[in-house]
Formats: sequence, structure tokens, C-alpha cells
Amino acid sequence: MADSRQLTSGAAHAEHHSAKHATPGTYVAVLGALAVLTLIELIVVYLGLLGQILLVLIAISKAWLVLQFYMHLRYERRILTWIFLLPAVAVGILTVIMQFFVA
Amino acid sequence: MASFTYSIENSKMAMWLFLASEMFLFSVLIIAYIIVRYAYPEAHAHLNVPLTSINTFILLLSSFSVVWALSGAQVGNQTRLLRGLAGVIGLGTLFFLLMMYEYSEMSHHGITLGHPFGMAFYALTGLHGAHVLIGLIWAVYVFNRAFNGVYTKDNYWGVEFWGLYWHFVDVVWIFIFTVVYLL
Repeated sequence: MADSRQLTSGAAHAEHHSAKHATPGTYVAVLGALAVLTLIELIVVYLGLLGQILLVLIAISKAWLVLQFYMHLRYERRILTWIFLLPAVAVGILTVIMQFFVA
Repeated sequence: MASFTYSIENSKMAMWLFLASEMFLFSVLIIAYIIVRYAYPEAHAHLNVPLTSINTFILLLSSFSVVWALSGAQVGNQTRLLRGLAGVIGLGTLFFLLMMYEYSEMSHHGITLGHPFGMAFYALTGLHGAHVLIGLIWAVYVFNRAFNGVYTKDNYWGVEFWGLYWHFVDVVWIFIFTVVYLL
């Protein structure tokens, strides 16, 4: 019982914020953007255009769209975004440091 | 009442901490793959990019199906919730089966776990595949609960937390697709 009370009151709290949540229209728009960005990636690869940095930038954009709108980070406390990004930044720093120990 | 609110906020924080720990794991494996990949350019040529591109669209569509189901739960639309969940289960299963087909193709080309490229490739994509499988089992559990009317517009956290996990699997795939198959 205690469990269901927790969930209900927690949901009521979220309901308070739900006006800020993405709408189904936003979800469709994000899907369209993700599909178009993936098509651009494939075109870039098959036509041998600009190359690797562009592909990485497109991948980051796609991940950002999913995180912001599908995972609702846009509507959450900022700390959750930092918690999620920290590992990627840490691994990036470690990789750079590693370069100094590679012949 | 405030403490109950904090409880659900803490659960969400815990979920994101878990996803961050997963992020560590996948980031390290992606870096390891990049290092090995450039030592074996001939092995990279065996990757099936068209098939994986289809799989990418399937996974993106499944992520949409998750938010569609969640938006149904949030307004108490049971039909939309169940259809969204069924969509994820169908698309996720298709993704997994195509991945298995790709693996069998790769092994026929001699890219096995014994091959250094294969080791880096299978460690990264295999771990991702395992996450898809866990997400699918979790999805069936959520579907079953949704079918029994557990979720309402005031109680949809079970759908939301599973959804976060599934989207995370999609985010990881976005990077795997680019780093492993396109670069």
C-alpha cells in the first residue's frame, strides 16, 4: 500500500510539471528529424562527402534529440544531464591522457 | 506527502545514475573498438552497412513507440499504451533477429571471437544486443502489467523508467552505428 501511495503522490507532483512535457506532435517531429539525420549520414558515407567529423556531429545531434525530448532531460533538473554526460567526458579525458603513453 | 514526492524523484535520480554507469561501460568499449578497428581495415569491409541501416531505422521507430505508449499512459489512453508497447516488442525483436543474422554472416567471413577485430566488434555490439534483450523482457513485463490495468494517468512510472532504459539503448546504438559502421 505504501508503495502505491508513493507512486500516486509522486505522479501528482509530476502532473504539476506535465504542462512542460513534450506533446505527441513533438515526438513525431523528433522521429522525423532522427530519420532525416540518419539519411544524411548515409548520403555522406555513400557519396564520400566531408567525412568523419560531420558524421560524429550528426550522431551527437541525434543522441541529443533522444535525450532531450524522448528521455525528457529538457524538462528535468539540470543535474541529471550532468550525471549522464560525466562518464563520456571522463572517458574522453582518459583517452587523451592515454595518447601520451602510446609510442 | 513531501517525502513521497522525494521518493519518486530519488528513484529517477537512481535510474539516471545507473544509466551513467552504463555510459561508462559503453564509452570504454567504443574507444577500445576504435583503437582495434584501424589495425584491421580489411575486417571492417565485411560489415553489412545496408542491413544495419535498416536496423537503425527500426530502433529509432521503437524509441518513438515508447514515447507514444508513455503519452498514452499519461492521459489514461489504454489502447495507445498497449499498441505502443506491442510496437516496441515487435520492433525490438526484429532488431535482435537481424543482428543475429548479421553475426552469422560475419562468422562466415571469418570474423569470429578469435579474430582481434571480432573480439572488439562482438564485445561492443554483443553487449548492446544483450541490453536489447533485457529491454525486451522488461517490455513484456510492462505490457503484461499494462494489460492488467496497473498503469493509470496518475501512476505510469513503471512505463517511464523502462522507457528511459530503452531510449538509452537507442542512444548507445546511435553512436555504435556511426562509429562501427560509418566511420
